[in-house]
Amino acid sequence: MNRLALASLFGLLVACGTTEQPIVEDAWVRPVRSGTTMTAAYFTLTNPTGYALTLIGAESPDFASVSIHETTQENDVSRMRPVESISIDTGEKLTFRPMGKHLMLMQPKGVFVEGDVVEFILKFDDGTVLSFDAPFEYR
Amino acid sequence: MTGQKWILPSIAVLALVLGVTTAAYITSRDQKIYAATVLPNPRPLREFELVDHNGEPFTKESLRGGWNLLFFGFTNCPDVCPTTLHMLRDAGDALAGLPDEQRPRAVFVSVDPMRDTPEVMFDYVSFAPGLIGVTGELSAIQILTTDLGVAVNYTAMGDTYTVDHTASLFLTDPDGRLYAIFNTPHDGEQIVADLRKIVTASSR
Repeated sequence: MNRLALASLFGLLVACGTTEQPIVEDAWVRPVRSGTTMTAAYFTLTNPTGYALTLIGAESPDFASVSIHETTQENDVSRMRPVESISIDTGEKLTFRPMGKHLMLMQPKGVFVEGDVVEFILKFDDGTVLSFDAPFEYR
Repeated sequence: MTGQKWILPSIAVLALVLGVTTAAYITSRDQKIYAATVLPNPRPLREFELVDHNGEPFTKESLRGGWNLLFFGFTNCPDVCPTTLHMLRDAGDALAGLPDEQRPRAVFVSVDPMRDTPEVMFDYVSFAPGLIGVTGELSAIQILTTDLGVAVNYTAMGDTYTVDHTASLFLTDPDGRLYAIFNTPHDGEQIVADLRKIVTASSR
């Protein structure tokens, strides 16, 4: 391989390195309570890509059903609804938190205890697929 | 000379006024209620017949003799109910030092009795020692929700349903009457501070 090819390869790697991915931080899952088959996952999602993204879905091999949900409060009445998609501007940070946006997890495919880790995949409208792990925690 | 005659009494009056003002300020600060809406007159509730998570009757009589903090929800609720019950458990820990007659008991009342049988409630409340799970006939639950002003709405979600519900906390006094309401959003520390003030101030 000649120098030019090496330099090109290096250039390509640098170019790939600057293509940033959305970032998930501080992810956790509330342990599934006995007697129930559902729970929720929470995290912060940052978009440093340089362009707006839309979160269009989520999956986990550990739950049969994962959906994006949002709890809202109106006149002290709590409502929880599925959300088709959530757009996130470049540079924006979205917080999925209790009593707000969350991933609703249904039908766990096993029995989990505090500290066990769940794998998730977030899917975006541009084809980006982001995987992350979240531990079961009581918070 | 006449000028001096009223100087001392004036100082005395000023001191009295300042003293009273300071005392009133300290009292109001100490008794400041952060999160609760205390009813001017506690509101009596109608009779109702429900069951607790052990299958034992839970009626209006069960509310008498102590303070109860009621929360309405359902077990198939992944976000609001566990978040609130978790907060209630921590509040219970924070108030554990109070004598029995003052320590509020947390009561989780299901608004989804179609799914929340006493057996389901038994499992559900097991995470928090002392938490009482209550369910029963929908019509009986509605007596309580109506009297307390709890809104409940069943909404289809996929092939199942979810329940919109008022997420306020309702404090009943040892006579079983509605004494105070904690509206959302809930701040655990403020709720604990308010509960402590209310139950220790009241000689009911």
